[in-house]
Amino acid sequence: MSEIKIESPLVDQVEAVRGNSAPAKVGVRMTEHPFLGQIVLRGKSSDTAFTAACAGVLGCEVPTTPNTYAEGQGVVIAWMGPTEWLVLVDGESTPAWLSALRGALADVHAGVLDTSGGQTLISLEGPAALDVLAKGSTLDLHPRVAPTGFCTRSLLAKSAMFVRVVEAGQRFEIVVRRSFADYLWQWLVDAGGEYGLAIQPAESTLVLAGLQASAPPKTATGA
Amino acid sequence: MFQIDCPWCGPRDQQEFAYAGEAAIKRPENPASLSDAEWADYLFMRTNPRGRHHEQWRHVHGCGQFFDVVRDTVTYRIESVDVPGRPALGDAS
Ligand SMILES: [Zn+2]
Repeated sequence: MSEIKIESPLVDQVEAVRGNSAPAKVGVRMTEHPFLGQIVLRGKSSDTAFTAACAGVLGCEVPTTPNTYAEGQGVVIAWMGPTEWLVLVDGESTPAWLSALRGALADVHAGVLDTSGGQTLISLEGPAALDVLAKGSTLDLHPRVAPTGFCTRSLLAKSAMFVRVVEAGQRFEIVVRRSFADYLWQWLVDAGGEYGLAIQPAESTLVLAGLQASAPPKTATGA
Repeated sequence: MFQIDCPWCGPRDQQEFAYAGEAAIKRPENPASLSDAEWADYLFMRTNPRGRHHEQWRHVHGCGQFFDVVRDTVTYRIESVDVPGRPALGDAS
C-alpha cells in the first residue's frame, strides 16, 4: 500500500513553502500555517452541560460575545455564530483534542467536527497588513472597530474567509477553504506586492502566535 | 449596495448576506385538510408590496444566522432588524 501524504493546498506555491527573497522595504510579512488542527464545535451556549463540558476540556469558557475569541493552554476558541465555534490547536495533538471533546460531550446535544484537512491558515503581519486586507474586503478591520480579540467570518477578494485579529491593526490570521487557498494566496501576493511583501517559509511546527503546542488535560478524556 | 445591521455581528456590507424570502409565513397546521388552492397559496403566493416589507435575511458569510428585517422595497431603507420570530409590521398573528 502506498503511503498517504499530508499536503498543504498551497503545495504548488513555491514561495509559500520556501519563502521569497524579502524586498528592501517590508510592509507586510505573510506565512502559511498548514496542518493546524481546526475543529468546528457546535452546541447551545445556554446549555450549561455543554458549556461546562467544553470548559473542562478547553481550559476556558467558550466565548459567547459575538466576534470574539478566547485562548486557553495551546488552544484558540473563536466565536463563529451563536451555536458555533472554531477551535484551533496544533496539528499533532488534534486527535487527542478531538477525542477529549467527543468524550466530554458524548451525552450532550453537541457536534465536534474535524475540518483540519479542509482549510488552511495564512498570517499577515506588519504596518501594511491592514491595507492589504482592505483592498479585498468591505470588513472594517481598523483597531477602532476590530481590536485585538476580534474575529469573524467575512469575504476577502470574493472568497469566504475567517479572520482573527491577533494584534490590532498589525497582525491577522486568515482561515481559507482548501479549494480557495491557492487563488487567495495569489491574490494576497499581488495585493501585498506594492507595500513590500516578505514571505516566510510555511510554519510546519504548527504553532501560532500565543498558541503553544499542548494536548488537552488528560483528566477530561474519559468523561 | 447597502449595509445590514446583523443582530449578532452589527453592521456589515450587503454582500455578506443572502436574501431568504418573506418573513412570518407559517406552515399550515394540517396540510391534508387544505384545498389545492389554499396549499398553493401557502407555497407560492407572497405579498410583494411596494413599500414596507417584512422579510428574512441570512448572514451567510458571517454568523450564519437567519433573522428578520423590515425594509422598504422602494427606497431600500431598513426600518428594523430583529431575531427571527418576533412580530413585525404590527402583525397580530
Ligand atoms: Zn451575523
